Amino acid sequence: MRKAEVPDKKIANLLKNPSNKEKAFSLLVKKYQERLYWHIRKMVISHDDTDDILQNTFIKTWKGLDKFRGDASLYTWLYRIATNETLTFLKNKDKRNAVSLNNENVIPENRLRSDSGFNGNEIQLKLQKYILMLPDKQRLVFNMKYFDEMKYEDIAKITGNSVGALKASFHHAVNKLKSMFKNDEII
Amino acid sequence: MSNNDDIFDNLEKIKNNPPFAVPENYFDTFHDRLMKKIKNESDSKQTGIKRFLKPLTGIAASIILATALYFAFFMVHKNIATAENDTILLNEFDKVIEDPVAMQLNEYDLTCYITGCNQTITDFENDDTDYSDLTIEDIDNLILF
Repeated sequence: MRKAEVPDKKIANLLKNPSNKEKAFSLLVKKYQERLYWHIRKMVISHDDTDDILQNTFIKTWKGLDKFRGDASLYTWLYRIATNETLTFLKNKDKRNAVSLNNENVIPENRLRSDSGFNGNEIQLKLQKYILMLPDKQRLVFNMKYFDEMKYEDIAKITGNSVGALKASFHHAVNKLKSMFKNDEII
Repeated sequence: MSNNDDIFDNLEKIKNNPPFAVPENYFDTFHDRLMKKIKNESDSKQTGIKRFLKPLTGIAASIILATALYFAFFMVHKNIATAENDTILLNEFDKVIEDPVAMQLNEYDLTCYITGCNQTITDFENDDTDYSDLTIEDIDNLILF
């Protein structure tokens, strides 16, 4: 049975006293580690890369705890750090791939198959393959809306985009994916 | 062909089960590994500061040592020079007091000897010059210069 989650408000209150910093941080990690892991993993696919990004996310959180004043919610703040870390990682990876002329892992299907951790069925493989073909930011919005079922308002706070822009981005992503499925069936 | 709109409806059933495996006990051990890494980073940061300060401490110590050595050498050298000068003066004095002729010299002769005036009492005794018409001023000039 899953343990009852500690409310963010309680963690934020603990953070007000510097002597509780470590305790509050531990509660924060235990509460969000799994959610953030999947948020990152769906973007970068590889478990090892996800582990690195997740650790960096929490290390940055730890370093920034003293400056956290509770203006934003802990949830939004953590997701924003994780998202920025992920997008930076993908940007750097794209640069490295651009330099490398013969990188087989640039092809989405190869990326999924090369990752020994992929254990889905054929339809999941197809969906992930098509999602990987979307631009990084569109993919991010699609994952947050479709898989994580986040509200546009929350996604807007995390990504810094307007709700209108996010709706348009999600709409484009869905249409592209439908089109890819359709073309796949024709072939 | 199935309706494309149905694709996402079909996927709804599986979307909450991500098709990626996670190593066993990953989430159970993540917190401890993370805290260990944070502690290591903090320790290495402190070591980094120490590593940065270490050469500066060495340089500061070298400067202090060099300054101390310079002053120590300077003071010893100065003392040796002073001692040497004192020895020379004492030797000169010994020469004077051991000389039987010098023992007969009065204060004026000794002053002349030390200050280097060329005329002695004997010079005046052997001098045939008539000094009877000398003025006080002439005598002063004779004595002083």
